[in-house]
Amino acid sequence: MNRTTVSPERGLGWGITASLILHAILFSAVLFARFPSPPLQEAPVYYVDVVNLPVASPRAGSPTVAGGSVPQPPPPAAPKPEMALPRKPLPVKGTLPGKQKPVPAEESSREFEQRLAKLQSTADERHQEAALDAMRRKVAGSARSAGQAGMPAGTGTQAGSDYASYIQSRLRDAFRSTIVYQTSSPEMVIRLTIDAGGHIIRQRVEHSTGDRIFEESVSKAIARAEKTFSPPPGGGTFECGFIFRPQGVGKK
Amino acid sequence: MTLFAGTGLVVKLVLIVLIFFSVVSWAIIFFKLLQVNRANSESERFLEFFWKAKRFDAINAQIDRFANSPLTVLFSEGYAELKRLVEKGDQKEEPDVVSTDLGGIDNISRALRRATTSEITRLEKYVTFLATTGSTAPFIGLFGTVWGIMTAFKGIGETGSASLAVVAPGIAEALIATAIGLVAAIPAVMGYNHFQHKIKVLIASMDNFSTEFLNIVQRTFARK
Repeated sequence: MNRTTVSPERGLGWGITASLILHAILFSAVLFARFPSPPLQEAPVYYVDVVNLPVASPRAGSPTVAGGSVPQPPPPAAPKPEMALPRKPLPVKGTLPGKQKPVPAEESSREFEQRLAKLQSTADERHQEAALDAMRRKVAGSARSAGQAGMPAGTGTQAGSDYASYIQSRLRDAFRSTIVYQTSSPEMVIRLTIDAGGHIIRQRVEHSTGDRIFEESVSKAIARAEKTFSPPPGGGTFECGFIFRPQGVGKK
Repeated sequence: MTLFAGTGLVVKLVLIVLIFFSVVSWAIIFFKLLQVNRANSESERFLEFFWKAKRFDAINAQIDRFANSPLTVLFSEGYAELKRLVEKGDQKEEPDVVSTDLGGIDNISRALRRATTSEITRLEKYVTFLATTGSTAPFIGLFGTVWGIMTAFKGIGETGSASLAVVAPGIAEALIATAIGLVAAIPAVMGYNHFQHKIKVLIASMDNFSTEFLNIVQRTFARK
């Protein structure tokens, strides 16, 4: 009887040591390189206030800007009225060309007046358009000078701004990221009172369908939106009711 | 690091298992690289020495120089069996003759085959772990990812926010399990294929050596 000779073999010990060293090196490389876990940034939200521009004389249709004298470009020259040439009389059925009646002079002058009036109204329209263009240019220029290029500088406090719409837009944006509900058509009406500093001092639930999760999401949206509020115009408090539905936020 | 710290218990366990698989796989890869490379180089050197040598006893005296070669094991086994048969022939007063009547050559052949089998077993030891790691690690990682995503979605449902800032970190933490699974599996599969090829080459050289050894024994010692 003899036993099979087995060639000498060292264990896995040194292999495990080498493997642990390799893993330690890799781990420290990853740790020192600080594997980028980029901070997720939400895209900046730009708010735009729609401002109703005052119109000096709506009937005349020539808007002006309060407090500013805008150098208006010269209005485009009205096109020259075409000379009203007497029309060639159409041949009347059953009458001979030689026996045709002449057009009365009164009729042709009335026609001329009508055409002239039409041309004048066209010229007025063009004039108005040119004036509006000048105003738009000025408004755009002032916006650029107020803030960053391309960014609207609306805070909801300018004259003509609708502060309730301003608050509504912020609530709508905040509500979009917090909305969650468990009933089919939840609804909640909340009356907000905002102080002169733009902080909510009171919120009263006027109506709710009782969806607790929806109510929580509305509370979160209000808390989130409050951070973006600017003070109401006039320096006083502001109070308004808002209706929260899955479709969005509305004013009461 | 923050990704690992932010994961749940199940994902952490999965990651620990995968890291263990990776460490052991690399340990086997290092060990086998050295073992197979030594076996190859020493086998070449042994064959050179074997064909230059005139006598088996001279080869047997120098065999410790090639301790890592599987061919030396074959030679030792074959030589030991041959020696026994020769000693038996001495008792019958027929020195240097191997009795083929009693299946002397077959005895040597069996001894060589047994040595070959034991050497193949030794060479293939631990290689199966590489195959296991290569085939299961991605699935273990995938399990961790699925679990992590399930947990992340549950959290999203509880917070009630579905923004990217809420969804993305949970999914990123879950995906790390798949990444580690692949990191463990890819070297293991590559190592497994490499060693399988090298071991096949060694098995072929062992078979060739066995045949040559038997030929020499039959030519030199067998009774005519």
